[in-house]
Amino acid sequence: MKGRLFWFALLFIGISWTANTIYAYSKQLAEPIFLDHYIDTFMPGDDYLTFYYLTNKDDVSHISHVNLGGVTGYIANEHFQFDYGFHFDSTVNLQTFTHHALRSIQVDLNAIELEDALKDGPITFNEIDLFFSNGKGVTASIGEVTILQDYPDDELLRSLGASGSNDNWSMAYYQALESLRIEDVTNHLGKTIKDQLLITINSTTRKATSHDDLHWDDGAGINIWDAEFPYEVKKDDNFYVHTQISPEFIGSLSTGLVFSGTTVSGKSFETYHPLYSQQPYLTQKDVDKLIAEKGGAQ
Amino acid sequence: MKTAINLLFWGYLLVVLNIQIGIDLLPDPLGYLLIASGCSRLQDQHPIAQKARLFSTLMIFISFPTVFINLSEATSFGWSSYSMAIMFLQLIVVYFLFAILQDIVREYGEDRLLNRTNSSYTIYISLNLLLLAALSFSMNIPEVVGGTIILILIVATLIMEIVLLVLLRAIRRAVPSRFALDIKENKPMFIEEDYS
Repeated sequence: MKGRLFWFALLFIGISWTANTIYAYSKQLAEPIFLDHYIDTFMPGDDYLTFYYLTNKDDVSHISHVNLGGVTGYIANEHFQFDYGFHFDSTVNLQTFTHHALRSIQVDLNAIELEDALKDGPITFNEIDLFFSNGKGVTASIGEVTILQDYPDDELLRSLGASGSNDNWSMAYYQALESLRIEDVTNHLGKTIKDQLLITINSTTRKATSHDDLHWDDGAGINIWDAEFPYEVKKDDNFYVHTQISPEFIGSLSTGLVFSGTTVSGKSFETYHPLYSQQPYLTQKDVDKLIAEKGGAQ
Repeated sequence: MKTAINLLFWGYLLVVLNIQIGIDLLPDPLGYLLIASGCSRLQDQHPIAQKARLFSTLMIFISFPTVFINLSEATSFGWSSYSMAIMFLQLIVVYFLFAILQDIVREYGEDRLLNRTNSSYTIYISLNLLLLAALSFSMNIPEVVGGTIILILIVATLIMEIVLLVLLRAIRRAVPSRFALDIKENKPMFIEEDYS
């Protein structure tokens, strides 16, 4: 290789390095972007609240604590399973993209502050205040999170089992312990998630009493958003709840449906059906879409 | 001459090898110091060694942070840029080292050793330029694509580091340890072989 060629190649690489660095720098996020979280949960007693966010791939800063609607949240060591506790502070990428990474934090809310906040009823917040170990503070939009005090369940629908798949499809099977007249199906997040969820209910006279006896009736069921209530379920009938989260939904869902109505004996009831999405799995296209929608590039 | 090439060999070995236990036990600045010292001994007979000495002296200071920081684990933007700058400068040092070796072999070596030096130079420099070019794009291409190419190039360049070290030993063996100028022929004259 001639000397001139070597210096020319070095010059080309230098220019390439500069141009690539400028482009990569333009793709850096000024602050983390949180995915949309639709959560309603019952505290205390529940597990940590998990939030997913996009950050720069080489971001080494750590979130030390958070503030949710005035309640302090501590960061749990969510990555213990990855490193067996050797690197308590490590930032683990759940997914890595060209310039960004998907990470998560698990928040443990201060029980005393939470109890105090819940005295006036459920609390709802749409933003999270993040405090980083380097002293930086950021407020990020997180969707809608509601914390409730009680868990309504009169246990008139006995759970027989549930199954689901990683494309956010799931179904659950119940057995009615009394003849029920379901008059309403509500969700604390209401209209916010209506477009993201397809939920159908169905009941049959099949007398399954255990998970092994169950079979799903494909396609059967009525969409609860369009359903005309009351909906009747006879005693011992199987009651199915089938849910499908929209493939367009990029975020995390942890909520529940409350079935309310009266029994044949005229007693009112409420029963709770939990709904969870899988850990988000994003594509580069999803990441680009999120950044375009929520901004954040420098 | 043998001593000078020995210094180049041990110096470059220190630069290539990293044993990081809190600090680099084989510090790069010490390696560059040995290379600069070797070049300084060679520069009277091989003027090109002056340039190698200049860059290796510069690297004594520039590479100082590598004693304390393991660049393979550093992910921040600043350290990535520094790492790239170190690779650039190291390649320039090696470029001039090869120029010295070619000069020496042309003078004392056989054709076979000269061919070996030339082909090692071409492959070494080409692979390292390719690696630097790939690394410059790596920050903007998906890891699955860039990672594979870079991994292959890293393995290839590591092999070439060994090739260069072995070549340095071969050239050391080929050159006479003492010589005098044959006035009649106006060329170096072999006096005795030094097996030390």
